[in-house]
Amino acid sequence: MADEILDSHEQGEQVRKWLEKNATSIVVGLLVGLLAVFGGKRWTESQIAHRGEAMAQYQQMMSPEIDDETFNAHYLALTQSYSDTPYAGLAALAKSERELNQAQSEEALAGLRLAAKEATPEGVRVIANLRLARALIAAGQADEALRQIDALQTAGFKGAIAEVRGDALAAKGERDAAKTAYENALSYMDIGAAGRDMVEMKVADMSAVATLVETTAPAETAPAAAEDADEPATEAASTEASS
Amino acid sequence: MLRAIRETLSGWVLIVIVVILALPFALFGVNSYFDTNISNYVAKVGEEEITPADLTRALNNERNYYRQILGEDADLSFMNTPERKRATLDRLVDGELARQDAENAGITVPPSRLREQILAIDAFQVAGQFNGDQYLRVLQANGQTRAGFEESLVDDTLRAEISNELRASSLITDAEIDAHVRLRDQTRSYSSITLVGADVSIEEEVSDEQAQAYFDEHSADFMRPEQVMVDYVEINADQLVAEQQPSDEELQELYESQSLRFVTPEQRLASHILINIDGSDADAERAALAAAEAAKQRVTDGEEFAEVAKAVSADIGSAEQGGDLGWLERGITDPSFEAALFELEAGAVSDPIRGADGYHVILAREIRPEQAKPFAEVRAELAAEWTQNRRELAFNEISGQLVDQVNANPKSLQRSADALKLEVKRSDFFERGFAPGLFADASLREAAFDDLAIKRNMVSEPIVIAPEHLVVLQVVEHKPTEPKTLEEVRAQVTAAIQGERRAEALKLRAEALRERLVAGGESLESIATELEKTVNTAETVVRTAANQDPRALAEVFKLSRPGEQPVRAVVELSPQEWLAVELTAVADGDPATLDQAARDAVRQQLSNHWASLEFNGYLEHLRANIEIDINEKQIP
Repeated sequence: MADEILDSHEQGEQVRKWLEKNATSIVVGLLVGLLAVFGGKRWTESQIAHRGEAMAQYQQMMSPEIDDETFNAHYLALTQSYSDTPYAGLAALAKSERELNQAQSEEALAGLRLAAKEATPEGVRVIANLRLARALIAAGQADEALRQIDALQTAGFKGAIAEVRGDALAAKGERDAAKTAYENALSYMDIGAAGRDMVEMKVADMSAVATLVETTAPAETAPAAAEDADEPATEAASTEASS
Repeated sequence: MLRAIRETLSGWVLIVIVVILALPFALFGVNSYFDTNISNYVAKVGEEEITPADLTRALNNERNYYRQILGEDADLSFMNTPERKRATLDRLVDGELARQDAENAGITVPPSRLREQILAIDAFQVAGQFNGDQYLRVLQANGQTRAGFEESLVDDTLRAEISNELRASSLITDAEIDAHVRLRDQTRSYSSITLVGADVSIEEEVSDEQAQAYFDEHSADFMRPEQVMVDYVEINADQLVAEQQPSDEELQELYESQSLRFVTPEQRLASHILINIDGSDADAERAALAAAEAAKQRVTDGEEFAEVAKAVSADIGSAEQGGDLGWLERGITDPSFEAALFELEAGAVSDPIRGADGYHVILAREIRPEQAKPFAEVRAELAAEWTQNRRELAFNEISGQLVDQVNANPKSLQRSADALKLEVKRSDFFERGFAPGLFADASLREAAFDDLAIKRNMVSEPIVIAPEHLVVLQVVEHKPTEPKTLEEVRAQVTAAIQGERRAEALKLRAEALRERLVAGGESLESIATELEKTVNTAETVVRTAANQDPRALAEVFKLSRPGEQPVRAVVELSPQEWLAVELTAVADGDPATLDQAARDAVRQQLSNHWASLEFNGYLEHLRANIEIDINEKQIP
């Protein structure tokens, strides 16, 4: 025990010496640490304020009955100073919609291209791509729309992608492929979904001449299946049909 | 050892160490050391947990919502299914996904937006204005803290922000509207004949072997549902004291004891002019009195009371209406005001009266004297109440006794009924899903098919099926679900087999016809003549044409467009109906015929379609990117 106490005492002395020798480094280290913590806090606060401004700015831009000039001023501010927030992308989408309604197709496409490349978060960017593709189809550029859609890499949006692809193929006159795409889109929709009948209409419209072939084709297999069915019924039917 | 440490750690060494240890607490707070870490979540989305309490709250909100729509007494048991709860949980998960996505993407709700939202909430307003005290009161009444509430508002905003803004900028091209209108308003011209089961003849005879084979194969379709027969005792207040009538003396007594009910107290239609007292000294008092007297003088000098009130009254609420206070009874207003008002003659104006808030000059515009209804007028009403009252008493007494008896004899309804001289009735066999008569009441059937009632033959609890109407029942016999015998369902089996034969024969026939129409190129007209069928012709009909069979329309609108030749097809409408059709013309709808409103309606419809595609796609994308763990066992 006595040894241990002595040892501890000696150790204490060593600690004291070590502390005396390194006092400056310790103090400097502490100061640097404190600065980092407080600086970080300040930075976070300014970041929060910055993001809040973006939302407020966007809200103003979207207020109803805003004139074009003010709208564009807000848009510029959002895309230039707040491109690190989702509002830059959302603003580009809103601007494109406004321009499309004013028949400014070129400007709208430019805005959509920007959003399709740079919007955040990823979900918004995919939607920008989908809208760009639809606007391209409307502008008669179905090929580019298809390339746009095919280049998309996402785990979601399966139904929307399929329908846009169908629209692009239909615009190109590739009816069979369009029909497959629409059927694919239907498979991702709920049975009761509101837009289902619209897509079903598109499917039927793409059925084209293929219907003829399809309705006649089962006729070849159906009698074969019916043969091993009910004997008396077959007899009755064939006598009736030939009469 | 410890002592050694204590001895060593003295003076400034100790201080340095303590400071180092204390720093993290000072900078980051003590909270993070107390975070509980019990994982009883129903769902975990990324690092965030959704607790059973969150889910319960969401379910309650939904329940309240449906109660508001469907009424207080609505049957909300459909809310309790596991599927329903899972759907609600999925909604919470979706919301949390969207919230995290928005937060990670750098969306922050600024205080100005939060403020706007709070100011707009009706519950926090007093007289159309936001009121800070009201805000805190309402929160307290709902057991919420201000910080908690504001945080939940921020979360709500984050959940909805991106999808709302995407919806706001939802884009629909003119080409899409045109394309939709072309399809939607498309018209088609066609002629058709319908082949039906009666057109074909079949072997009608069904042998016993065939019937047996069909019966064996479809045994699940021929089950008798479980049934019970019950004994029951019914107590209905309507039948309890039907013959008793109250005497005149009893009613007279009732009338006197409740005389207040039949008296409408005196009412006076009053207006007033209020003069406030600005200050608390005698001068202010005198000034106010002088002003009030001046106001009265103006009225006595012939000015309209209402005009004077408008000009000088300090009661802003009534001054606009010419001082009108409406009809007043005693016991509503300030005592001194009331005393003065009820002394006035109709049309008279009082001297200034000192009330709690200043001097009033009062005008009694009209007087409705006290009105009492005489006994004769309310006799019938009282008699009905008396009878009802007796019924309730009698009902309560006998039902109380019945409950005691049932508790004492839980296995014999007969014994309870005998003790109270009540009649035991016996029902017919009835099913769980439906029964005629008394047992049309679902709560009775539920009690009759209760496990305890069937397996242990217990007498049921009293079941109240209407006010003052209850039933106690005991199961006499229970027949479990059992297969019916072939004899019982022979007619049904025969019909089913004949139906199948007919469908098959008809199908063969339709296919033969298709061969001739489609491949052979024969016209529908000639085939119709041969089959002696009337041809249905439809000229330029739309998809929703009311005068055509909707099933036929659906098939016709799937056919391809005719060119030189009409398009012919034979399609199945049902096993007993086939349609042979010749499509001669297709004309697309013309977008140019739509007016602006109709076009906007299409735009809105398409916009909803694409917005929901985008939104669902977005969630699908988030689900694939954020880890979700559902803990089914914790669903309450």
